[in-house]
Amino acid sequence: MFDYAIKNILKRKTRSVLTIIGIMVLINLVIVISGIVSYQKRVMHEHASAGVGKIMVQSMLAGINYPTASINLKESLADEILNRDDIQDPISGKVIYWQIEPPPYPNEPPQLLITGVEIGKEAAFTGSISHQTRAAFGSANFSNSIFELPIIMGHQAKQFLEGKQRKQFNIGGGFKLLDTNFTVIGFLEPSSDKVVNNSLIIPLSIAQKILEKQEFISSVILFPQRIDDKQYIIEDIRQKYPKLNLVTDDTISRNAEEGIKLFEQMVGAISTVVILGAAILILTVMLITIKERTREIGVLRAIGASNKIVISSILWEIFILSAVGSVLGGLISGIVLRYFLLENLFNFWHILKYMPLAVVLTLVSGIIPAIRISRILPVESLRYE
Amino acid sequence: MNNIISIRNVKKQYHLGKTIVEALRGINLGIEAGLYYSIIGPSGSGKSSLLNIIGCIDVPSEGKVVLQGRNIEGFTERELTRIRAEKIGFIFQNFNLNPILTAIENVAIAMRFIGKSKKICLQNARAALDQVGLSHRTNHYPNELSGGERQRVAIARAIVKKPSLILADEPTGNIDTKTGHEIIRLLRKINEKQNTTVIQVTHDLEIADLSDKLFKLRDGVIVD
Repeated sequence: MFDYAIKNILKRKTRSVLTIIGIMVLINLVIVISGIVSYQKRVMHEHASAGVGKIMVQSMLAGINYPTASINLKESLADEILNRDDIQDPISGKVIYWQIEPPPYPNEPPQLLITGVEIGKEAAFTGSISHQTRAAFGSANFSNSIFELPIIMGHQAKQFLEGKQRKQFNIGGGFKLLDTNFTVIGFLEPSSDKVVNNSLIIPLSIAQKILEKQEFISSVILFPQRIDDKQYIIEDIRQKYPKLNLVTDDTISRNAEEGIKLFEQMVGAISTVVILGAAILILTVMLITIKERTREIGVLRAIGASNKIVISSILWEIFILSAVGSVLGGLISGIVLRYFLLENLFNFWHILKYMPLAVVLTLVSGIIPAIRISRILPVESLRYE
Repeated sequence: MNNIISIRNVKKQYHLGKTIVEALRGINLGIEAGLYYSIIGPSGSGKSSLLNIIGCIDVPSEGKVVLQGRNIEGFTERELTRIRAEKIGFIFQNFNLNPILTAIENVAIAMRFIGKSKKICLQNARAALDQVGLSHRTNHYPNELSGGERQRVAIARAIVKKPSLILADEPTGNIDTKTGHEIIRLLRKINEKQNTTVIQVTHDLEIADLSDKLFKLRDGVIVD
């Protein structure tokens, strides 16, 4: 009865197209939502791993976020904290964070931010215990810069601005930021730390000046001399400065996990509503479709079609519609994930994993009305108008 | 007497909400192989109910329908379906052709239910359409055919599987008189040439007179 199902689909074009669109929308929503979730989880894990080995000290008001949105830690206090022998001096320093563009998704760092770092201690911000983000072009530090107002662009920050301003940035070229004309001295290679990627890095003193936050910073970054010193440093600072917050890779991980959990719960709830809504919609469409074919099924039964034939013809039809809807939904999801989000979230296996969902959902929704209608006595179906 | 169907004291009741309608009130009759029968009677006399029970698409509320020596009460749904598929050809007043299928497909589908291959079904369907004089309309859809042509397709669908019994429920009810008579002549020809038993329900006494035997129904009982 496969050919009969195909004929039915082709002859009832409006209904077939609407059913396919419904299934397409369902599969598209589920794939895109779950694609964003898995991307979020990856980002959060990367974000958490980026701070391995770092200890960040910031004010109570600044909380335990990385990067913090506040610039209210006194620089003199920061200098006092930095004045110890058990940290690596060149990669420990003061930083300022200032958001320019908000995060694209919840629990993410800002899409574009200014990061002020001490000259000569850029690696305190751009490095981790195992990795140092180097310059893809130009320089990754300000020490040798001949320019008065130098700026280093994170990988993603450069791409974001080039897309937004529709122009290419070059080493030695000008860039206006908060009414100040900077000179681009370097572009960083991609980093596993999204904050680094999204940053426009400028010298700390210039950041303080243009943000009118002289003598204040956001955070102090400390790298222990030896990894075993980390716990001692944390406890020592907590004891000496009980009013300050300490952010470590553990804190970031915990925050990320909580963020992921909350996000998953939220998206789980949305997905459940979407799937339930879609299941009810599909069930209703199937009930109407099958009901309107009661007489046709009655005739088929009267001239000798068995229950099995009737059910198989309906299920073939449902299967074809849902398969076409799933494939088209998968294709559109792929295009959305590849081209219409801020980042390329396309993942073939991820899309393939969700495509059978609509087929199963539709078949389950269709099987009950199909069995019910096939069991009606032919004479009752024939009387149906 | 060579009865292919015996009906003994068959009653049929329908429930219309809280009202019980007695469509058949105790019918007794025997159908002999190879004859042409007409059932006549006014609207609501139970003609179609009787035809549906004979055709195994409905079951009696009481009484026995003996088919091939067995009471149909003892048949499973699958067996009844097989009898409808192999032994009985239906012709309806309003044709009941499938609008999404062409004339040849409408005919062929009846054969597919008895497990024949698509090729054989189409071959036989072509022959059946030729027999009813529609070989030139095989690939037309029902909405491209006249009333008479549609009923011929329905007849082709009924005869394609070479059934032993054809049941026609007011086959001329939706077509003009001239075409109606042509349809009846066609049915009579099939009955005579293939020795197929035909039972038709009709209002038209002129048409009923062409049959071998006549049952007159009134208020659910045979009066003549």
